[in-house]
Amino acid sequence: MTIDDVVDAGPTQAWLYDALVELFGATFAADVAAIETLRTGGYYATSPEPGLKVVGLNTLYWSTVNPLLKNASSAASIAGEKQFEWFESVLTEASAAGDAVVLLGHIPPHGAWVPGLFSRFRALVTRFPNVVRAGPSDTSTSLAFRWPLIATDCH
Amino acid sequence: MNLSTATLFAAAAFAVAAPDAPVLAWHVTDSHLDPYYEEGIPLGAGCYCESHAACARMPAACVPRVTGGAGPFGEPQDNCATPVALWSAAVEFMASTAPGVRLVFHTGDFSEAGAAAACSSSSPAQAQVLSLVNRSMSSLRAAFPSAAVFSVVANHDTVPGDVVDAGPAQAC
Repeated sequence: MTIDDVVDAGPTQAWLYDALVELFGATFAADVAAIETLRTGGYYATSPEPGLKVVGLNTLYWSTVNPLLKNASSAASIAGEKQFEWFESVLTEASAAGDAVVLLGHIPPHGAWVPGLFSRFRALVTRFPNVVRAGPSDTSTSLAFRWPLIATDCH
Repeated sequence: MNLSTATLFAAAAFAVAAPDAPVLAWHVTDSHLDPYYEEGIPLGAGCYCESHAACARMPAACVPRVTGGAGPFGEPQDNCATPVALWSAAVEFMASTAPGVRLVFHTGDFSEAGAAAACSSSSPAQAQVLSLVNRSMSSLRAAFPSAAVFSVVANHDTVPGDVVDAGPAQAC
């Protein structure tokens, strides 16, 4: 089997996301909305203290390292769009509340995101320059606390 | 993303309310913990620093040597992942250097390189991944009992690697 043989099977990540409710969600177990998105999509937004919101993104729904995203109608692609719409609502609500937002993600938006998505992401994040304060992310080049603001779209 | 033996961590600070009142945080990523890593395993033999006895998918030649072989704190070759000793030392350093942080972030890739293939039939790949996430998160919470510890899922934390929403037939 090669990675290109992987087939779309619809939303099948319950084995992982159900476990993450306990493994990650123990930090914010009382936040019903955050637990719900963690259980259904592996992402969340929660406030550990007043004035601060932590957003945990599931970049496997946004990056082409996931071969299922080659098909725009796959369950993974649909989940990615749903996450983006949710992300926009989170930033909008944080801005209205005057909260600072920290973004957590694994795959940085350098050439590994779905074509066109980073342009949308950058446009969204830059609408809230006083909201997004830090975006730690895995990267092979640096430990960046800056990628939402300075990374450039390669697509 | 796979940074092999590198357990990366960094201190970070950002302002929430006032610039003179920064929030301190630890950020660690790509820990790739390998509980099967064994010191002395020969390099260049396709062992991933794991012994055949501990992980049956490794070649029979993967037996520890008295001298040479994989070092105690990791190897920059053979796509070896992170030994427990390195992870434990990193967490201990973090806790002793800045124990009072309010936030700890782990941005994913908890699992060993190649964890999508189970080491034994009694340890399915999915259970193996979840065990490594649990082990890493538990150690961070134990080291920082007063901090809020957050994490995200990454491409080495799913089975098969890189993929979400794949069918069960492709799981192993």
